Formats: sequence, structure tokens, C-alpha cells
Amino acid sequence: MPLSSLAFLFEEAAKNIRRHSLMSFAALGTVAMSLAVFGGALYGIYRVNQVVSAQPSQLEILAFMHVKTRRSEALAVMQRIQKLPSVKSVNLVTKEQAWAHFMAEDRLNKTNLTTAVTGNPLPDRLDIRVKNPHELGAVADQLRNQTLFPQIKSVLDDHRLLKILLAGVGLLRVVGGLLAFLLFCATTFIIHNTLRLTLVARRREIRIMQLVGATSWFIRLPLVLEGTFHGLAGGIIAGVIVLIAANSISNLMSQFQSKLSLVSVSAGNPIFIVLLLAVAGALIGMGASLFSIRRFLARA
Amino acid sequence: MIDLQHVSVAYEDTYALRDVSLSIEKGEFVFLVGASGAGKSTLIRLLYHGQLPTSGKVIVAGQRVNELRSHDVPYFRRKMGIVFQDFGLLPDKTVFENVAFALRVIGASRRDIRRQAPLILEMVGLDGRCDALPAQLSGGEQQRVAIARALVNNPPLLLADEPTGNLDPETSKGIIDLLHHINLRGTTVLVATHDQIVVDCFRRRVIELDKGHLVRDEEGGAYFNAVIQSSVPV
Repeated sequence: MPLSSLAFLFEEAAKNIRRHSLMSFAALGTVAMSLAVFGGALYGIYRVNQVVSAQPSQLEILAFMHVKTRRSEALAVMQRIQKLPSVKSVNLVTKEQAWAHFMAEDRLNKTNLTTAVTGNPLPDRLDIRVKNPHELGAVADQLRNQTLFPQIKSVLDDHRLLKILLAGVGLLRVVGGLLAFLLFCATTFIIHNTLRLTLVARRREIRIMQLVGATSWFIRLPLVLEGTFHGLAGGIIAGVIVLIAANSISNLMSQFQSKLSLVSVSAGNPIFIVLLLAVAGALIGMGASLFSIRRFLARA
Repeated sequence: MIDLQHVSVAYEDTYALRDVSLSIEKGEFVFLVGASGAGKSTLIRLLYHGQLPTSGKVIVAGQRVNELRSHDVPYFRRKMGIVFQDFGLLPDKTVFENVAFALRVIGASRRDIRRQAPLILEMVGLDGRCDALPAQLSGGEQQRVAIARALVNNPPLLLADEPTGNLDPETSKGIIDLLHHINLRGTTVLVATHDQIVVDCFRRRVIELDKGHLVRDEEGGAYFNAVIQSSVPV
């Protein structure tokens, strides 16, 4: 397509947006609202995920050796565990380190437990982190197998809170995914409907274009540009709304974290949500307009 | 230029055209006449791929219209200009922009548009009204803009479907005069009309349709068949 034709089509798209400003405003507003709800849900899921994955103690398994297990044996067990496919890292906490830590806490909390104990009764301990939180249980069960790991006396994998959080995140993902899908459909439908009205209003112009020999792309391009503009602008507005709401979402998350004694995570820069919604809006706008025009031209 | 071989167009149980065969040579001026519903507009639509025949062959400018692929249709339509009774102008574009539009669509450069559009507007007698909007023009002037737009690409064929249908007799004559002038420059012109005055006045080849059948093809004919007219008691 020659450059002059391309410039003409951009001019036509801009003129049409100005000329049908009320229709453009309606399309833009509905897209912005739909994407704002979609973006808000997405941001909420992202924050909850962030918090969950930042809870290290909840992702660890503690394996206690028998007190009489030698250091070299403990190191051999550590190497074997390290080779398990689900394991991310293994850290040996020696009985000396554990005792020092215990004494420090004892002094800090003034419980004076260490004064009643002679010597170091603590065993060596392995702190194991897994790659996927969902595999915690399976790895812990493997470590409990006395045939495989007779040196391990007991395994602690208290991840009840994690289970609740993971279930919550799972539910949030399903509900959020469903909501996102419904909103995606609604947004696409709104743009499609708006463009259909625009096409009906412009059927005379389109008929003339067809009769003077316009190719289907010459007819489509200004309309696709319009649809993309509505989606893009709606997405940016939605992004700004979510950006403003992100503060409230973060405050809510902080309350949630402190109530459950979770490690707090910084929200980072939520500007990505604006970019994401702008791109999503533009793609939805483009896709919906291509779909509507294709159907319209097929019937014309 | 135009060749129809045993063409029929059927709608469920009725025929808009039935076994029509005709041929129009390059450079001819032909009136297509008949009462409303005779099949004139259907025949015009067949020629620009606005409709496909149920059976038969339609050949225009050497191309078999019924065998055109959809992406070839725009390029095929650039070989002809089409004029309608309702003028088909874009109401928010000026006279110049309406004519330039046909050039824009085929990818003409700004320089070509600036050169060609004023020439064609001068030819149809509208060179002083370039900046007017269609609503500011009379019916005759609007039809002249439509003709200018149809001709700006120099097509070898001009199809006009009831071009004088919305105009008074004097203006109608002016439009047919213009079409005649265009025909003298070598463009093949086919005018579908039921305007008796203009057909009788210009006495060119007349093809008559009646209920979808071709009933007359007469060189230098009048609107009504002379035989039928002479048999009607006064």
C-alpha cells in the first residue's frame, strides 16, 4: 500500500473518531470500565501470589537427624536429598549452630531453659526447600521413609497455613481466571457491538468504497485503527484506575499479612499493569474490529 | 465490452432475468429500458459483480464476472464507473473530496489527485463548486459530481442506473447530454432508465426488458416499441 494511501487512512480514522465522538466516548468508557475490573482482579491475584511465594518458612521441610548421627553421615544424607528432583536447596544446620541459636533466643526471651540442660542435646538438622510448594508433602513423605533415610529421626513439614494460602490462591486463580475470561468476552462484545453500529451508520460510505474499487483492506484499515484506538485508550484509562486502586489493594494486603503474621512484600512498581491493560485493550480492540468488519463485509 | 449469454437470475420462485443474451461493443451508447421490476437494475448489478447469475455467462471487459474471485472484484470494478439514481455521494465530503475519493481508493498520489480531479470537475461543469458540500448542490449538480467520480479513473465503461430518476426533465436532458459527450470520448455507456423523454430525444440503441425477458434490441430506437405504439388505437 502506498504511503499516501496509508496517511489518508490514518486521517480518515482520526476524522471518524472525531465525527462519531459520542460513539467513541461510549466505546472507550465501557472498555475502560471492563478492563479496570479485569486489571484490578489481576493485580489482586498478583499481589496474593507475591505474598505467598515470599513465605520461606512455609516452604521449608525440617529434617532432624538422630543425635548420634555423625557429621559425615549428615553431609552424605544432605547430598542425597540435594539430588531429589523436587528439591531446590538443602542447608545443614549443625547441632552447634542450632544450640547457639537456641541459647540466643533463650536469653532474649528470658525463659532460662538452657540453664537446666547440660551439654548439647540437639541433633544436626537439614533445612530443605522445594521447587514447587505443592510438592512439599511428597518430599516430606520420602524423607520419612526409614529404608531410604535411616539417619533421619523426624521430619517437620508444618505447612497448614501454606495449604490454606495455596487453596486460597488456587480459588482466586480460578475465580479470577473465570472473571477475566468473562470480562474479556464482555469487552470484545462491547467493541464488536459499537463497531457494528458504526458500520451500519457507515454502510453507505462502505458501499461507495466497494463500488469505486476499494480493496477490503482499504475499507478495513480505518475501522481497525478506530477499534484499536478505542481498546488502547480504554486500556490506558483502566490502567490508571487500577494504579490508583493499587494503593488500596496494597493496604488491604498489608492488613492481611500482619493478621496472619506473614512476611510483608513490597508492591514493587505497578506501572506494568498500565502497560499490560493498554496492550490487552489494543489487542482486544483490534481483534473485535477485525471480526466485526469481516462479518459485515461478508454480508455486504 | 459486454457479453451476456443465456443469463438467468432467479429468486426462489420468480425470475428477475430469464435467458437473456446480448452483446454491447466498445464505444457504444445503449439505453436499457423497461417498466419497474423488468430486470434493468438486476442486469446492471450483474455487470459490476453486485450480484451473480443463477445460470449463464456474464463477460465484461474480457473478464468472466461469475468466475471472479472475491479479492479480484475491487480491481475489476476499477475498469468501470457506476452512477446511481441516489447519487451515492459522501455527505460530509466536499465535491472535490468526493471525486478525489475514487482516486484515493486506488492508491493515486496526491499530485495525481490534484491534477486529475479539477480536470474532470471542469468537464462536468462543476469547476467552480469544488468546496461545496453535496447538501449545498442541486440534484443535477449532485449527479454531475457522481458522474465525475465515476469517470475520474478513466474507465472504459460507464454504467448508469436510473441516473435521471430524481431529476426534472430539463436537468435530465443535461445529464444525458453529458453522458453522450463522455461516450464521444470513447467510453462505452449503458444507461438503465424509464425516462421516455431522454430515450426518445437521443435515439440510440435501445434494449428493452419485460418481466426479465429481453423483448427488444433496436438501433436508434424510441422508448416504446414503434410496432406496439402504432397498433395502439388513438
